[in-house]
Amino acid sequence: MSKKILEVKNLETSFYTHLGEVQAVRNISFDLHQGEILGIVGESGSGKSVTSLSVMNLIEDPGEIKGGSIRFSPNVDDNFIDITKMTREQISQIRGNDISMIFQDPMTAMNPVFKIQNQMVEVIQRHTDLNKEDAIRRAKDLLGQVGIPDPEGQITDYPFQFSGGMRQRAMIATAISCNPRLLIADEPTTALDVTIQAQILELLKKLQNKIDMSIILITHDLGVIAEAATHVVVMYGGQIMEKGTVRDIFNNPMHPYTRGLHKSIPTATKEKKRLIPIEGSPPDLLDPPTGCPFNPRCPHAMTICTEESPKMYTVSDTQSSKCWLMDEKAPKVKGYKKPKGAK
Amino acid sequence: MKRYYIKRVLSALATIIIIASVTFFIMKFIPGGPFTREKKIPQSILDSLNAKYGLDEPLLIQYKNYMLRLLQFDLGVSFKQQDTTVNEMIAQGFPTSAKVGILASSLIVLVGIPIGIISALKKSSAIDYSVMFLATLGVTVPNFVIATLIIYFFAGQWNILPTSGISEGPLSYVGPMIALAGYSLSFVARLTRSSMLEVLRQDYVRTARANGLSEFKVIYKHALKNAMIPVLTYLGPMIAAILTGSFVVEKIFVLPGMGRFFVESVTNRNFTVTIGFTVFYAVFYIIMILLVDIAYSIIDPRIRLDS
Repeated sequence: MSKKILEVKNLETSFYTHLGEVQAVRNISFDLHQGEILGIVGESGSGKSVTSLSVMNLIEDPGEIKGGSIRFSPNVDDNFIDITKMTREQISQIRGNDISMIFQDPMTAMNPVFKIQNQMVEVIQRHTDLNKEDAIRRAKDLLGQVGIPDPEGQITDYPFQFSGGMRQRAMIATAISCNPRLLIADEPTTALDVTIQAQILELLKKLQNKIDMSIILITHDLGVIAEAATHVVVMYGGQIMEKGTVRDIFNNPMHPYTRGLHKSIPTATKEKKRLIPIEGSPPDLLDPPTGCPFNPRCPHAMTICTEESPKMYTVSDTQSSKCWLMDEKAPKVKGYKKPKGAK
Repeated sequence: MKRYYIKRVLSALATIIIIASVTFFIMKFIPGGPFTREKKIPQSILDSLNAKYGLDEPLLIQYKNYMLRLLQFDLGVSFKQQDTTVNEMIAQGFPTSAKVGILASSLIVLVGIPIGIISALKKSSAIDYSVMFLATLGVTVPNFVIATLIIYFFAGQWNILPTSGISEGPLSYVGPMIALAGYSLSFVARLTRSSMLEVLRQDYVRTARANGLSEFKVIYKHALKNAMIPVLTYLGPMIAAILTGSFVVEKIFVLPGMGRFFVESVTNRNFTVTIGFTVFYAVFYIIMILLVDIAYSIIDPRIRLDS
C-alpha cells in the first residue's frame, strides 16, 4: 500500500448560529494515501464541503473545528503536522502549495478585477522563488497543460472573458502550480455542463497521474465518483455512513443509505425501471436524531437504531459500514452479508 | 472605448442644455421678477429696466438669446449687484467654496475609508460598535448643529479656532471643513464597512485564502479593490456637491462662498444668477460623474471591456 498522506481523526466541526449549534461534521475519521482519488459523496448538508474546508483550515466564523485532528504529511519524510493546530501564517504556507483547492462555482471563484496572469503569478511567487518572468512562463505552461488553447494570448484576459469550463481549467492550473501533494476539488463539475464535466474529470485524472498527487473529490453525483474516484466515503447527516474502494461501494454496498443512493440514480440499461427515491428529508443538524442519523428514512430501521449510534463495522480490509445490520446480533436482511467475526 | 466616451460627452452636453432650459422656464413662470419691490415702482421705470435687459421681448426670444449667450459661456449679468456678471460672481465665490470643499473631501476619503475598513475587519468588536455609533450620529445630526457645536466649543470655550471668516489663515478652514465633511464622512465609513463585509464573503476571497496568500494581500489587494466600487459611486457626486459649497455652513461660518449668492438669487428672482449657478453646478456634477465612470473602468475591467 502506498504512503499515507492525510489522516483525519474524530473530526468535529460546528457552526454557531443564533438558533444554536449546527453540528455540520460529527466525529468522522478517514485516511488518504498517496495517489488515491477519494470521492466524498453525500447530499446537500451532509457535511462533505465542511469536511473539505476543515482540511484546508478554511472554516470561518461562526464555524469552528471543535475537536479531532487532521494530520497531513507535506513531504516524503512522513513528518505529519496537525492542520487544526497551525497558526494562520503557517497554514497559509501550506495552502496553495502542499494542499490546493478548487471550488464549485468557477464563475465567482476568481477575482473579477484582476487578470488571470496576475492571479496565477501571485500564487506562484508566494510559494516559490521564481522571479516575475519565470513565474509568468510557468503560468503559461500550466494553462497549456490544462488545455487552454492559447495561453500566450489568453493569460492576460480577465476571468469574465473566459467561459465556465475555461475558468475551472484556469482554477485548476493555479491550484496545481506548486505541485501540491493533495488537491481538494469541491464539486468541481457541478456548475458545468455535462460534456465539460467529463473533460474536467479527465483532466484531473491526467494531472493526478502526472504529478502524483492525491485528490479529494467532493460531489453529490455518484456518476462522477464512478468515473474518477478510487476510494469512496459516503456521508450523511455529518457522519460517514460507509467507506471503501469504488468497487466496494458500487458492487457490494453494505449500508442502506448507499443502496438508497444507487436506487435513486438512473441507469443507461435497456430495462425500464422506476427510480426509487429515498423517502423523507435529511436530518436537521441543529438537533440531529439520536442513534443513527439515517434511521427515520431507513427501510430496515430497528429499535436500537433510534437509541444508539452504531460503530464503524469492518466489512473487509478495504470497506467499513456504520450500520447496526452489520452487528452479529442483528437479524438477517437479504443482501446484507455480515462480516465474519463481527462483534 | 473612444466611442463610449464621445457618447458620454455628447449626452452630458444634452443634459446641460436641458437643465438650463428647465431652470429658465421655471424661473420665468414663478410669480414676481427681479425688479419686484414692496414699494411700487413707476411703470415707466419698470418698462425701461425691462427693455434694458431685454425682458420685454417674447419669452421664446428671451430663451433664444439666453441660450445663445450660454453657448458662449456668458451667464449674463446680475440684476441685483450693480455691474456684476454672473461669471464674476462665480469667480468670486467658487475659490472659497472649492478650498473648503477640497479639504472636506480629502478628510472624507482619508479618514472615512480607513475607519470603514477597520470597522469591517474588527466586526462586532468594541472598535466596530463605537465607530458605527459615531458614524450613525454623523449621518443623523445636521451640519448646522455640528457647525454650531464647533463654534461654541472650539471658538467660544477653548479659543482654538476663529469663529468666522477666512481672515485667520489655515485655521479658519478647520471648522467649516469638519462641519461640511461630517455627514459624508460618516456615510462613507458606513458604506465602506458594509461593502467590505459583503466582499469578504465572496468566493474569490476564499479562493485567495485557499491559495495561501497572506492575509494582508487577501484584504488590501483582493477585497479592497472590489469593495471600493460602490464607494466610488457615492464619492463622485458627493465631491461635486461639497466643492460647490453649502449655504448653511458658509452662512454659519460667514464664508464668502457660492452658496450664499445662490440662495439669495432664488428669493430675489435674480434668475440669471439662479440659472447660471444651476448650470455651473450641473456641469460640475456631470464632470464628476464622468470622472467616476472613468475611474470605474480603470478599477473594473468588466465595464471597460464590455462596451
